[in-house]
Amino acid sequence: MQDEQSRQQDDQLIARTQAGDAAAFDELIVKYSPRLYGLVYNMTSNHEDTNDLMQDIWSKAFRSITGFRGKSSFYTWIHSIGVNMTINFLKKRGRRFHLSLDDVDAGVQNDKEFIELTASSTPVREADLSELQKRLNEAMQKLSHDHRAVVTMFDIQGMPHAEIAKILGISEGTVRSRLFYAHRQLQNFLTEFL
Amino acid sequence: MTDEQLSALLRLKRFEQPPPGYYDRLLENVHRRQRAELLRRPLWKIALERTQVFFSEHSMGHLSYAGAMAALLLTGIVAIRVMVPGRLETKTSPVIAKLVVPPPPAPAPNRYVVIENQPHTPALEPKALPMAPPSTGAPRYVIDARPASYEPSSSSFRF
Repeated sequence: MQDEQSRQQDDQLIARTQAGDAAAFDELIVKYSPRLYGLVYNMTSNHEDTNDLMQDIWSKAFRSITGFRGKSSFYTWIHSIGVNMTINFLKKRGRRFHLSLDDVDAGVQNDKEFIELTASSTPVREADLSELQKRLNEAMQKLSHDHRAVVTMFDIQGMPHAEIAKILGISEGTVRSRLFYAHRQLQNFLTEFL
Repeated sequence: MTDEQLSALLRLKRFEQPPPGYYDRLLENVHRRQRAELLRRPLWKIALERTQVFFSEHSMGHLSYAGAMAALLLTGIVAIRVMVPGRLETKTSPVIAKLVVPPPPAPAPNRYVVIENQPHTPALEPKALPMAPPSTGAPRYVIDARPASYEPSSSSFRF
């Protein structure tokens, strides 16, 4: 998931942060926020909640970074904090949530995969893009927190099974099992639509 | 719906991004949060951190810090002992008295010190020796564990 050069750069930034250089931590925030945002947002399906959680996650990471010993990569470490805090948040929030997925990036309409998908299926071609997104996110919200986390990391963010297993602290077999059941559930939810 | 279709649909969610300028604002918000947390920290944590910073500024590692703390503790204990000696002695004196008292001497009959050309000196006090003769001032000698320098007594042996 991470090349050696990127990891060495992270190590240097972490060492500088641990030595008291707050600007080095800012560089880590800038580097990892886009991916972290994708993870949190696809689990919460709400921009405001995601914004609050992002601040919480980075604040906690800053407080804890003195104890970071490099046993895992920073990427794994910050994602682990992010997933755990998001799952805790979702447990507290319960079923009280509202979707705010109305600001989809316009670039998706030019995406090759999207064009192929809509061209291969007549109902999809006819469907409105925002409606498709809305239904997908509703289906995602019906998954359990653990299943949603696995789907987000594997299908949306493209992480390998081993990385997901490290982040969640579970075996790769459990990751595959959760993915299998989550896919079955999503397919059932979306069958009517497609 | 096939697995491939589902995967393709899920991959589209990668395009969902926050509004432009979000990450710049996020950085500012995180900084603000950190400052707010600093102000909310309990007093003892701030005091502990300042102590650590004080020692770290004097180029002392963790061991030196621990050593300095131990030295400070020892100095404190010694200072207390020096400043309040009377109380400590009063408390300890009965114990010392008990330890110093020797046991009473056991009687040891017929114990003499064999010394040549020296005045006879019994090992114990004269009162403890039942066979000790009265002191006459003349030198006394012991041969084969028998006193041999007694003045001839007026009594004679009878067989």
